[in-house]
This record gives sequence, C-alpha cells and structure tokens, in this order.
Amino acid sequence: MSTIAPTPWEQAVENPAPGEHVVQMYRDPDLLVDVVARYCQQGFVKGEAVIVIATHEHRAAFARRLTALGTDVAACTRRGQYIDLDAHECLEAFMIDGAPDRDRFVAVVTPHLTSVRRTGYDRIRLYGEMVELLRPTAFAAAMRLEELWHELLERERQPLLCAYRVDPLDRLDGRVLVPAIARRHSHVVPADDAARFENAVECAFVDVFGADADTTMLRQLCERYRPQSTTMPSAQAVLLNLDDLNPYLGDAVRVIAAEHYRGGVR
Amino acid sequence: MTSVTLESTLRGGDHLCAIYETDDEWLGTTVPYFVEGLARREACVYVAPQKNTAHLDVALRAVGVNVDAELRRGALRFATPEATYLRPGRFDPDVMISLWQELIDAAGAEGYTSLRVAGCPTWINDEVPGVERWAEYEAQMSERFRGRRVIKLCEYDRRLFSPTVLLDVLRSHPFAVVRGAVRANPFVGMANARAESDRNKLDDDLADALARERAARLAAEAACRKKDEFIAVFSHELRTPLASAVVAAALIERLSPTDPRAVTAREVLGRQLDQARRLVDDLLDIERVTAGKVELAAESVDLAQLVRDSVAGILIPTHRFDIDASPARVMGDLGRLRQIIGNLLTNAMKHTPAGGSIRLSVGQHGGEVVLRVDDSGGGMPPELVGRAFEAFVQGQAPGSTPSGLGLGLSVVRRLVELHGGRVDALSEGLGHGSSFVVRFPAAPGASPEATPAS
Repeated sequence: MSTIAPTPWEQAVENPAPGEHVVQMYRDPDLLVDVVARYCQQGFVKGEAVIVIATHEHRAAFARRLTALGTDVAACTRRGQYIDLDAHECLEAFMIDGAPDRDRFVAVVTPHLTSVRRTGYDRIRLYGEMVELLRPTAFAAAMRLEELWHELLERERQPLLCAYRVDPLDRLDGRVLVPAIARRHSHVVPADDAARFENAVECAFVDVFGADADTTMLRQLCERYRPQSTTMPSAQAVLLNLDDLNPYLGDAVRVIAAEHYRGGVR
Repeated sequence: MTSVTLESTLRGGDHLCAIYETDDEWLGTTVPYFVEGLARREACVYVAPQKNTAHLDVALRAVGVNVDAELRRGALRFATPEATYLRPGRFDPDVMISLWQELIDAAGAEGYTSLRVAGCPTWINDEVPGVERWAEYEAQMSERFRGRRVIKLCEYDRRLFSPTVLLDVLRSHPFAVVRGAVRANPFVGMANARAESDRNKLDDDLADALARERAARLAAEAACRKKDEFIAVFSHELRTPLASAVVAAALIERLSPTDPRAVTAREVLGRQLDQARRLVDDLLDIERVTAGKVELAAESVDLAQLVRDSVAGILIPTHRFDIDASPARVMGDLGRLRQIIGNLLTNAMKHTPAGGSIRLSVGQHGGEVVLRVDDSGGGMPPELVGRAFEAFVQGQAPGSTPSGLGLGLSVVRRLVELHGGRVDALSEGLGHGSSFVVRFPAAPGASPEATPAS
C-alpha cells in the first residue's frame, strides 16, 4: 500500500487563505470547540478579526476555551476584533419560507464585516454554524446557504470555517451528505484525526480488496479516476470515488474503516 | 388326594399362590389350608365356582370337618365370584380390596383371630369388564394387607390359565405352595432382582448413550464450527479478488479504452479473476486428488527450467528471487508440476514481507531431484511445522491478518505424492523463515549434474 503523506489539515483549518471555504466534520462536540477556538486564536495572533455565528452554548464554550488558551476575549470584543452573533437570530433574519434569502443574508452579514473593517481589521475570519442548524431538517436550505456564503466569500475575499456534525464513515452521512457538503467547500476536513482517518480507510481497503499489490494500484486508480474539485485527504477522495464506482463496496469500506477508526480493529 | 400340611408357618398378611394341574394337588393344598384355619379359630372364606365348592365340601367332610356346623356358625363360608369379585357388575380391584377389609374387620368383631381366604379365579379367563386389572389387584393384595389379619391363598389350575397369567401370578405372590410346603416365591425375588438389574443396566445403557450422544454432539458442533470458519475464510478469500474485479470493471467502463488507467484496470481485473479461479481450483483439487480423480500426463520435465519460468511469470514481483538451478529432469505432469511450484512460490511470498528474499534451488542428487524454496518470512512455530500440509491450516505472522484458505500446501503435498515424491517443511521458529523441500524420483536415464539443492 502507498505510504500516507502527512497532510497538514490542521493547518488548513487554522490558517485558511482569503476566500477559502473550509468545512470541518466532527462527531465529538468537544472537538468542535477545540477547532474553533484554535481557528479564532490563530486569527488573533495574526492580527485578524473574527466573526463567529454560533449557538448560545457554543459561543460560551468558545469563549471559555479561548480564555483557557490565553486570549483575553473581553478585550478582543471591546476593540472590535471579536464579534460573536447568535446563529438562531441571524437565521430568523434572512430565512423566508424555509429558504435563505440572498438579499437578506447579505444584509445580515455584511454590516458586521463593514463594522469590523472600520475598527481597522482588514483580514476577518468567519465561522458559521447556521448550516449545521438547518442540516437535520432542511438540508437543501443548508446547501443553498453554503452557496450564498460562497458568493459572499468570493466578493469579500475572507475565509470561512463551517462545521457539520456528520460522520464520513457512516453509511448515510458518507454516501449522501458528505458528497453534497464537499462540493460546496474548497477544503474538506473529514474527521477529528486526519492521520487516523487515512490509516482506517487504508486498513479497510486491505480488508475488502486484499493485501496484494493490486489493491495499492486499485486505490490509486480510485483516487485519481475522477479528480475532486475540493481539496480533501486522499482517503476521503477514495471513498467518494469508490461510491461512484460501486456504492456497495463503498459502504463495505466505510463500515470497516469506522471500526478501525474507533479502535475496534477486527 | 395327597394330603399336605401348611403348618403354622403362615402369618397374617401372607399371600400365597398354588399352581396345580390335578384335583388331587388342588385339594391336597386347600383342604389342610382350611382345616388349619378352622383349628386356629380363623374365619375361613372360599370363593370359587359352585363346582369347586362342592368338591371342597366333600373333601373337608372326608377329613372330618363338620362343614354344616362351621357354615352355620360362620367360621366357614363359601362364596361365588359373582357375589364377590363381580358384585359391582365388573371387576374393580378397589371395590374388592374394600370388601376384604370389611370381612377382616367383621372377623375381628366376631372374635375370630384372622380371616383366611382361598379362591380359584377361573372367571378371569372370561371377558369380564375390568379383568385386565387382575394382575394389578394381586400385586396390591400383597402390598395392602401385609402384616394384617388375613391370609390369602390363590389357586390356579395350570390347565385353565395361560402361561402369561401364571407368570404374573408367580410375580405377584410372595409365597408359593410347593409340594405341600409354603416356600418364599423365588420368582418375586428374581423379578425384583431382575427389575433392579434391568434398572441398573438401563441406567448404564442410558449413561453410555448419553455419553455417546454428547461426544457425537461435540464432534458435530466442532465440525460445524470448522465448516463455518471455512465458509467465512473462503467467502473472505473469494470476496477480495471479486471486489477488486468489480471495481476494476467499473473503472474500465467509465474510462476511455486508451486511457492508461483503463489499461491498468484491465490488468488488475485479469489478475484478480485469475486469483479467484485459483482459489476455486485449489478447493476442487483437494477433493479430486483425495478421491484419486487426478490423472497425470507424465512427460520428461526439466524442473529447473520450470522454476525459472514460474518466477518469470510473476507479474508484479514484490520480492527478490534468487534462483540456483541446474537441469534436473523428472517424469511428471507439466501442469501439475507448475502448480506445485506456483503454490510454493505463493506461500513464500505470502509469508515474506514485500522486498524480502526468496531462494529457489533445483538439483539432482543420486536418483532424486530436489526442489527447495527458502523464504525470509515469519517462519513457523514447531507445532505448525508438522501440520503445514494439513488442509485449512495456515501460518500467521505476528500482527498480520491471516489470508488464504490454507489449501495451497495441502495440494502441493498430494500432488507431489502422486508423482511418487515427498515434501517436507522446515523452520527454525518464528522470525527465522521457512523452507520447503520437495523430492521427486529423477527421470530414468537422467544423470546427476551440479547439485545446488542440497
């Protein structure tokens, strides 16, 4: 099997380039708090401003974790470097008949960007979890909102981090939600631990296809036969393409990879 | 009539039988029985058909019994079956036992020392309702009145009763009158002993049967487990090449035929389907070789060249092969010899990490051609060396997952033996690699040359 090149996915989350639209998938809510806190903290370190649109609970958790990391959240807020908005209130402000309205969305988000810029911050990191609030009951609306974000990012040239509580190694999430989410982002970070995720999928490939040289060849063919427009780890690209080639085998690999990933190696 | 004395050995609760075949025998028992009873101030009751009663009456009078006086005072009574056993219109043991109890009580109330009963139940030969419970009744009479103030004598005319009935009689009466003397009935003891013996034997047989059943069940369960394990392993081993083939086919379908990736996918497809075919072939070969269905088309084959060809035919060399082979001819089936070498190579590659070395040597030593395959793989523990050629046995390097059906080496051994040769496995233990040495008879006329495979 091929060796796994270490992919700095943590870097993709912590230091996104302007206009990048990164999605972090997670199963553990604590991981989300860690990731977002690091994302914000790295922004502060680089002299960037941060706008967080999250639930009340998450906003409080992020603030606590940032404080634990040594950030003076109150001071950041006072000088206009840190703005945290309530995700539910924002959603209510631009949703019409269960779908996000472009004009209202722009009207809700843009003033905050303008306000931050006025305080002297040109680089602004965005974090939003309104899509995750829509996902369970209105997935199409969530995807539409991603498209609106994408338009805004292209215009504003600022990075955005999204987060979805979905599991790429779950049959339904992996086959239905992950491809749709992946298509609407520039970078996909599919799991809490990128290296472990890569290793789990590789082990599952060996279990399903055998441990011979052809399996390595087949994995490479799977990864490359249909290039993904989104930047993602090799293992995630393999899973998406394998689903396209044969969804049953995609499921088989996902199920075994999930066991490896969660430590239940057979 | 032969007069006999029943003596005073009879005690309350005794239950006797007398089987006779002449009237003399009958009266020779019954008359003294009642004479003694009357002398002991017992209330005597005789239950029998009228004809028997008449005969007894005469016989008693003949020995001096004042029958009329005894009848009058109630010390002697004659009764018919209809008035006793069959009084309810059918025979009912419970009713009869109750009647005897009443008579015992009445005798006691009237000052008699005991009740003495005799009877000749010829009526049981008739189709009387309830008669099928007669043997049960006789057995109950022994049990219910044991130690009570009643003595019972049951008379059976051998000429009137079937052997089955007589056997039941012997089994249900603790005492028998034999040649005029009361004897403990050996049949009852024998019957009890027999029953006990039968019961013990039954217990032993049952225990044996249970042990046999348990052993058979455990063996069946073990076989079933082995079968399940085999099916699981076989399914897995077959699934992997088929899964690869399915994905390769899907890639071919989606890519342009001239796309280099499609070319690679076609190669993968071919190899994986061939791998699946080999698995099935191995499985079928085991059965065919075992059943003697494999016929060898013998020809002179240079084993050294065959080894070189086999290594050259490996499409994706993942190991380093060192070949030291001098011409060595054997008489054998080219296809089967190729299969032997192929299986040994596959085994060596499977157990040697990619990049490891595998050494093959072929040479003639005297009348033998020796093929040796040495790998630098995980080796075998001593207990596995002796079982390496058993079907479904496979080694597993520590930390690795088992793969294969464990049939390859088994097929090798059987094919080698079909060629008149033998194969041995060697290993100095885990981590020290394994060696397989095959010896074939050299082809006639072949002369030994260089001898690398020592």
